[in-house]
Amino acid sequence: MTERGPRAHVVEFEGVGHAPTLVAADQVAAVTEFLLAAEGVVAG
Amino acid sequence: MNYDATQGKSATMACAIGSEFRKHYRAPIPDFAPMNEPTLNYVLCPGSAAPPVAPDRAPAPAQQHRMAYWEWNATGNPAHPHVVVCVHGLSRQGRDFDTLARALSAHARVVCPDVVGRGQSDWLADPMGYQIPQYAGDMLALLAQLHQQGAIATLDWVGTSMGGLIGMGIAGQPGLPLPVPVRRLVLNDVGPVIQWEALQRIGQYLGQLARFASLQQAADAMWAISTSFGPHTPAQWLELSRAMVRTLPASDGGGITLHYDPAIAVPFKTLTPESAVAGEAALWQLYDHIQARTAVAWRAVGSALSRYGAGNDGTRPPGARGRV
Repeated sequence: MTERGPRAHVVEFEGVGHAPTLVAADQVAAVTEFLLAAEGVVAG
Repeated sequence: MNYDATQGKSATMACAIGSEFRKHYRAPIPDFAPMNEPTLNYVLCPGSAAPPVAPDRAPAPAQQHRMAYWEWNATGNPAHPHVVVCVHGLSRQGRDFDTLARALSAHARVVCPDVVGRGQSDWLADPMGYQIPQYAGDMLALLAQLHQQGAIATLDWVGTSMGGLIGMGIAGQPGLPLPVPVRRLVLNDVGPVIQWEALQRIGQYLGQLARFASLQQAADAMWAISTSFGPHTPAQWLELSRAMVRTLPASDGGGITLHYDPAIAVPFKTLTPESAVAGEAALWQLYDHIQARTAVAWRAVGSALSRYGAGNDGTRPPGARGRV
C-alpha cells in the first residue's frame, strides 16, 4: 500500500490490535493532524 | 439508560436554546458555546427497509430506508465547507467516533453515519443488501444531502475496517457523482488484503445477539471479543459500549441486546475462499485509483503472528511487506 496507488502514509500505534478505536489521545492527535494539516505539509 | 435518539434530540434542543440565549447577550457564554454534542439526522436511501423493530418507530417510505448520521459541528457555520465523514467497522455504529469527532468539530462538519442495519438506521428487508456496494450507494446519498445543505469544498474520509473499505469504494471509483473528490483518506487498520481465517473468526460471533441484563454486562461481553482494540479505561470502554445496545420491549422479556440487525451476517456467511480472492483483486483495483492523500493506521510492529495472524477483521494490516 505504501508503494502503489496513493502510496499511503503509515501511522503506527503501540499496543493496539484490530482496530485502533481512535479514542486514545495519541491516536486522535495523529488523525486530526493528518486531516487538518495545510496542503503540502502532510507526509505521504 | 436511554439508547435511542433522545440524546441527539436533546443536544439539538440545547443548541437551539443556546442560540436564542446568545441573541440577547453579547458576551460569549462558555456554557453554551461552542455546541459540542452531535445532532441525529437521517438521509433517505434506495432499497426497501424491514418493518421497524422498535414499536414507536414509523415505517420507512416505500422502497427506501433511512440511514441515520450523527453530525458534529462546533465551527459556528452550519454550512461549513469542510466535511469529514467517519465510518465505523462491521458490527459497530457512528458513536464510536465521539472522541475524534469532538476534536475535529471545531474545524469541520463531522458526519458519522450508522451504516444501514446498525445504530439508529433502518434495517434492510433483503439481507443480501448488507454489502459494500449498498453501503457506498448510501454514502453517495448522504454526501448529496450534505452538499445540498451547504456546498462541500473539502471532503475527507476516516474509515475503520469496513468503513475504510466503503471509503475505498467512494475514493477509488473515478466518475462517481461526488460533490468533490475525497481529499484525504484515513484507512484505519484496513487495506485491500483479505484474510480468510479472520473472516471465518468473525463469522463465528457475527449475528449472535445475546440478551443482557445491563449495559455493563454487555460491555464486558463485547470486551471479551474486542481486547485487540488495545488498552481502554473501564470508563472509556463503557462509553464506547453505550450506543452499541438497544433496549428490548418488556413484552419481549426486557433487557438489552446489541444494536445491529443480526441479518448483516447473512451475506457474510456466503463468502468463500474463492470470492475472498476475487474481492481482494477488486479492492486493489479500487486502491490503485485512489487520488486522495491516504494514511493507513495500524498496530506498531509486534510479533509476526500478531501482525498477520488472528485478531484481524478480514484484512491483513495494510502495507504488509511483500504484498504491496
